[in-house]
Amino acid sequence: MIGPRSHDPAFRELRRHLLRRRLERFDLRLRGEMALLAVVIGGFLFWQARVPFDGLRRVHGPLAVAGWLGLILLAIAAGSALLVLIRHGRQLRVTLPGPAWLSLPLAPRSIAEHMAWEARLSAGWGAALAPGFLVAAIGLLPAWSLVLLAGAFAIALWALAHVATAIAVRAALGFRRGGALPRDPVLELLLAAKRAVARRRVRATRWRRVPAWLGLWRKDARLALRPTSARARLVAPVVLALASFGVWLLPLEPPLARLLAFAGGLTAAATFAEFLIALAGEDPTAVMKTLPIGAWPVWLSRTAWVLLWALVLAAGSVFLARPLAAHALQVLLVWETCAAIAIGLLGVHYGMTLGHNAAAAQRFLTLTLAISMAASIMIPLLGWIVLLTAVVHSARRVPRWARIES
Amino acid sequence: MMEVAGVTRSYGALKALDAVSFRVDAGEIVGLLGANGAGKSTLIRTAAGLQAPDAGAVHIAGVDLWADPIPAKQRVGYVSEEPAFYEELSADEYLSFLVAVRALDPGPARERVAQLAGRLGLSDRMNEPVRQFSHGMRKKLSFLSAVLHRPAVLLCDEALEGFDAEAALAAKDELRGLAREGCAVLFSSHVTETIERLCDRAVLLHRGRVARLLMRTDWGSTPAEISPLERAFLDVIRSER
Repeated sequence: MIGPRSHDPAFRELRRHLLRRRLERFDLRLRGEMALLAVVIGGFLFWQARVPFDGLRRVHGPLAVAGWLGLILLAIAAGSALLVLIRHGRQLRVTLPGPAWLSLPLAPRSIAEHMAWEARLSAGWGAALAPGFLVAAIGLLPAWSLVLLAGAFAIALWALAHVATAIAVRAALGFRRGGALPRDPVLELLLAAKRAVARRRVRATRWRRVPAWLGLWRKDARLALRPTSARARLVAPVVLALASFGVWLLPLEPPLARLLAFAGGLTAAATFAEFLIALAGEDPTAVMKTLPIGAWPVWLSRTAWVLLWALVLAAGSVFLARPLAAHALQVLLVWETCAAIAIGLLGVHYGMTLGHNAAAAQRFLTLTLAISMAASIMIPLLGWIVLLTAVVHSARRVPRWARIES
Repeated sequence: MMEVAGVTRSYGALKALDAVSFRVDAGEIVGLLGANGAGKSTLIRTAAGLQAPDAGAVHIAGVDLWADPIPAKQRVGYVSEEPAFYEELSADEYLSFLVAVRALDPGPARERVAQLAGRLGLSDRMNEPVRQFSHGMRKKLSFLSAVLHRPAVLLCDEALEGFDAEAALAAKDELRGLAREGCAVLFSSHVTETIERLCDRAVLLHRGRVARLLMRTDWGSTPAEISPLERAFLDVIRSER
């Protein structure tokens, strides 16, 4: 029997190659944009944390600052570990990324450990939030204590990510309890993941004569209901929209409820734009580009989603925002609907022009929205100008969508 | 008919196509032969509208593909070497989507799909998500979706690769039938026997250039349509029905 340890060098080499290739996938421009995004987010967090930290130091001393900073860093590490837990749990249930692992002469635990490593990589996204808070404490805490806190954060992130993958495996094994007696539980788990794509049939479709845009819309609707990455993206906007509606059922003062509902509506619109990009990412490039259709039907079919979503958000506010006065409700509806349409259109445009690289489109969307948000916080309404400029700028590429190469 | 006029395409320093010119007349099946990396797929992808040429033009039934893409693409069918689909849609749903965007009459289109699916051996899998299809079945579905609208120009990139013998025969029959109706077929393959059996002419690509244009008379006798091994295979398949 081949022990799991004997494959460690091979996996180390594989991981080194994977990391290098994944980094190479980001061209210089994209790396620059990601660095800019990191600076914007870091700057925003610094902006938010510096003043409270300074106040804390004046009132309660540096120890209180260190305590709060430690708590924040711990929360970031815990949030990152939660991401790892979700990702690893999902990949163990759905499918194993990479080659036909089980056909290779590897111990199941080596494969499972590699999958766990893949999942733990996502903890890095959470780690990107820490520098903003650490920088905000510079000058308020001794340098050695900041270094100590940064080190403790790195260790906590590493440890919690490992705990998260272990919990995901335990949970996946737990779900399988009661079935056939496994000889090797990890092997059974991996085999189950491979079987997850079970053969199934769908209801026979009705063939109708419809305009091209409606044909595209119906196809998108089917994809949104089937187990695609687009459907996975649809969960967040639905949950956020429900949360934004639910705010009106809480015993809150109307101005606070309006603020929370508006924030919920905006995030629901942003995540819906991500869903639209994921939907565009489902399009096989070779099929779409060889079809005799221009940009208009594609744009219209995706914009129909945006309008529908804006209508849902507005309807929710109309029916539930009863505590608001008529004028205040009108203002909320106008702002919320306009924002939902603008953000949705941004998703449509990025999806159409960058759909062949949905990950890049998602990053562009995040970058634009982050800059808009930061601009809005610094100078009121500036964010809207940034957002509308981005919508217009991205629209200019749409007519050339079929000519843009991957 | 299709005309490729001085098409040049580079990938960085590599010149994949260098001033390639030839034409495929209506009713003709022209083979596209070449070694790996000769530029066959680049040429077919350029002619299908998937990547723009650096220079030159592609005319589909007199329409410049890159100047007036929509009317040109209305007349083109494309069988991809590595077909991609909406993995979660069933073959039936995928084809009904193509029928909608190509503005075909759903009734006759559905009949044609049923007939072609039967001949290609896909009938009982039409309501399954494409994700569950084998490589051969994906190729069959790509073929079916390319010929569904009876295109004026059909571009086939290793179209029959992965087909079983019976489906390959049916597909070749369909190609000949389309050619008889006036379709211009450009058939890329690295299997010379298939080109010998099927094509009227052949274009030999070498390092991105047209090395030779061959007529059917140039390759002499055509091999038998069905080899003894294929005959035995078909006998077994058909005896089980």
